Amino acid sequence: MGDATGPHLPDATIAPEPGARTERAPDASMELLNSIQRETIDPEYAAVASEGLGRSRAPVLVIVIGLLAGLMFTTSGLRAGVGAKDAAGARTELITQIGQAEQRVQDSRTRATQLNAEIEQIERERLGDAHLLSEPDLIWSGQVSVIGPGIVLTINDNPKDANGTIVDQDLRQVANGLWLAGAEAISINGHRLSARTAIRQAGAAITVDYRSLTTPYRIEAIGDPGALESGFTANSGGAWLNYLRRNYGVSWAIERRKEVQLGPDAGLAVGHAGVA
Amino acid sequence: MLAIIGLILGVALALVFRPEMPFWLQPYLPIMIVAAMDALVGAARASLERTFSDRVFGVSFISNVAIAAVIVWLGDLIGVGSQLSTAVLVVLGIRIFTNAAVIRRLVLHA
Repeated sequence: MGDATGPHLPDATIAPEPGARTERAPDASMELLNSIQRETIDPEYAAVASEGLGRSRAPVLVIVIGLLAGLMFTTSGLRAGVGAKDAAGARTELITQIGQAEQRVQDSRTRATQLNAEIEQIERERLGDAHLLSEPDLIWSGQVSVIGPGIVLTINDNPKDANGTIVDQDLRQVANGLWLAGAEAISINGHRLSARTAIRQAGAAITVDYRSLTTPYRIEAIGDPGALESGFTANSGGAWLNYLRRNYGVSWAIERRKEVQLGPDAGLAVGHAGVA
Repeated sequence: MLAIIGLILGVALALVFRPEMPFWLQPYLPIMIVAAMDALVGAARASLERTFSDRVFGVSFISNVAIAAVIVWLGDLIGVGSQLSTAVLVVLGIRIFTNAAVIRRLVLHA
């Protein structure tokens, strides 16, 4: 320590605090895991025993605790056994709930349609001839229920091939093909298409107007049946379906009808309005 | 000994009466059971080491079970319920294993 160039270093070192560990345990950072393994039993057991308390003072308590534990174990074991049954029960319960929710949606849509009809009526009464939309406009826009000659086009998945499942794109092509062939009104599985109807995929199902459909898809179109059929078969819609039939085994058929009736698009509502 | 009598009584009662667990408690039952097992194994070890105290047993059982359930419930509230129940299971699992090993040494001297 007698180095002349450096500062003088004391020979003494700082004494450790009383009680402090002089050496840091090499695994100090693992203290949590160590304490878990060290204190596997509540330390109170040892504390109470060393104080000479303890021994059986409350045998009833011990029995009751044991009884509680036994009840818990057995109840849980029994529950695990009936789990499968419960799952089936839950499934039916969920299906019922889905059915009820769908019914509520249906009711609300029916009510919306009724209210729209009332609005229509009031508009007619108050505005008279200055009614906002002419009859062709009402038909084109999909606001009113329409009836007329037309065709029914049925499309079915290929049940043997997952690739032969109809997707939203297919239905869009078909709808466009029908419009192109001169359809005046179209509905898919009872859902009328308007300018604001979306045909989209949601999971495994196709939704039209945000309501999911199931196979077979039944597309009704109003227009001259002959022109619709020949026009559709000749244009992109028919070509698309023929391609699907050839390559994926999708089946489809057109049927002419003297009278087809289509309901209004219940999803239509005023989104923006201003004074003319 | 008394605890084992109580345990057998409890199993018998549950088998006879088939009590229904309250619905809101069902998600926490598994974790509560592990906590109960920990308290039971701890008590068995204490009694073999002749330090058993029924007061400590009662308090540790009830508080272990309640805390385990509350931790998982809190976890569910903040969206980490399954992770927290894993944490509780790991800690309790280590305790149960270590205690079981000590019991094995005390009983079998091996």
